[in-house]
Amino acid sequence: MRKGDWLLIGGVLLLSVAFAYWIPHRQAASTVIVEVDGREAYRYSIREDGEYPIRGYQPAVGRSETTHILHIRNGQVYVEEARCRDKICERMGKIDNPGQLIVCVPYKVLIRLEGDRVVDTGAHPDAVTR
Amino acid sequence: MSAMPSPDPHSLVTLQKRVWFYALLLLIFAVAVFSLLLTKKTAPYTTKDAIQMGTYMRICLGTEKNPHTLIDAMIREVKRIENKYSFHNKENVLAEINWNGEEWTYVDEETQFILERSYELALTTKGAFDPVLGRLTRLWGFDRIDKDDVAFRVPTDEELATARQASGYRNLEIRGDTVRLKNGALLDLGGIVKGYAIDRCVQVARELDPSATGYVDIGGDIGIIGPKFGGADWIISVQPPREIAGVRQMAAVFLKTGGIATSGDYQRYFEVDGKRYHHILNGETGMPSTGTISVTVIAQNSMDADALSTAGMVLEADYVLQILPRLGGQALIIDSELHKRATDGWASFEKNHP
Repeated sequence: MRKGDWLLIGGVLLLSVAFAYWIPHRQAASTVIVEVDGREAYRYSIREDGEYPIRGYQPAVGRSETTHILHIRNGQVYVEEARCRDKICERMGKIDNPGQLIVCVPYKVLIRLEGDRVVDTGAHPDAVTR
Repeated sequence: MSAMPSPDPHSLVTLQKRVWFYALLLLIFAVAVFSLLLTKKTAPYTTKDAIQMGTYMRICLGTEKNPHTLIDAMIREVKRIENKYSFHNKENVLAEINWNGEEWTYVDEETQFILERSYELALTTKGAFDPVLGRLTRLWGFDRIDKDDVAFRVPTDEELATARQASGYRNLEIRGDTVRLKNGALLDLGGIVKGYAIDRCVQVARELDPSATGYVDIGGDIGIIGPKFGGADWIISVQPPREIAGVRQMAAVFLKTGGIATSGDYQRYFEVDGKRYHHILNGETGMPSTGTISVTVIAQNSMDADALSTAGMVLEADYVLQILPRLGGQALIIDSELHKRATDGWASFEKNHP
């Protein structure tokens, strides 16, 4: 065994430890997908905080007006300033796990999260009754 | 010319060691990569999200057939039911019955089934679930889905009194395949038709693939097609009716079959002067129900779960806990102090969960 071998072994070990550390620390959901009238209209990374105007389904005005503001903050996604009167999308709260969704019926907006891991919340439900 | 130097026997041994060592390393690496690939789940479930029946719909389906064929059939079925029984549609069977004065209307078997079951549930819940509150729902404006921010308003006492007189399941008469409404009352199946649509989706999936598994979720009411991976429970969490720091669920239940539905005051509501007016109306007063803020019901099917959860909001909690099991339901009730109460049979669905 030469010095180079030990260096190589050390390098591989270090890399694998780093990799093992990185996997569980990836954020749960990675992508925020916004569908309008059944079609993907916007796509954001959940890692980038920001406030994004969403134009919901408005056949009369040709999707020109902002109907909601989508907030991404610290890995959580929520909606504010909904133009409709129901505000159900705002009441659906903050979502952060793949599989969760926010929906606005009047403007046909469906916001869902994609990603391969689930935040450890102590419970991993398949679905939510509400 | 010197002869080729004979290899140093010592360095030969070192070389052999190194070859073995690297071979071993390669093997470990190969095994690691292979096992990673093997354990990576090849998703056995196809999920589809859509907007249907004035809310979201999620289908989670496991089948050996083409999942998209089944999912399309299920969505078509939901659309058909929505068109047929929506309170808004001016040309469906519901409108026909509603606007036929006091004349009798012929209905098909499906409508007869839904109306008879609705009437039965109204009788057994003493009108807490009531399919004939159309006038009241309209007066409050909870039937509309408006794009603009038109303000909700609390009806006046006179308006409420007038609407109350033209409401209630006793105004519905069913004689075989004919039905009629009296006193200008209007049918509004909003409290049961979502559950019916879920049940039909489950049936459609099973008809197309008897071994299909998964669930159908329409606006938080869920019907099970079949157990997860063919044998395991689906874990369904109950949404907290208010934001509670650090609390993501009020309970988690384990279901292999049947349906679960929740009614609450925390999604469809408006506020005037700090007072909340939600969409589940008490037929007797014409006002939103009080006391209970969330009711979750587990039943044999989603139709019953849907109607019984609505009834559970209107009835006194004590009474709900007493009669729900007799009507084939188990219930979790949450009051305005966020205290939980449940029927005796509920706990068996909450296996080993905090």
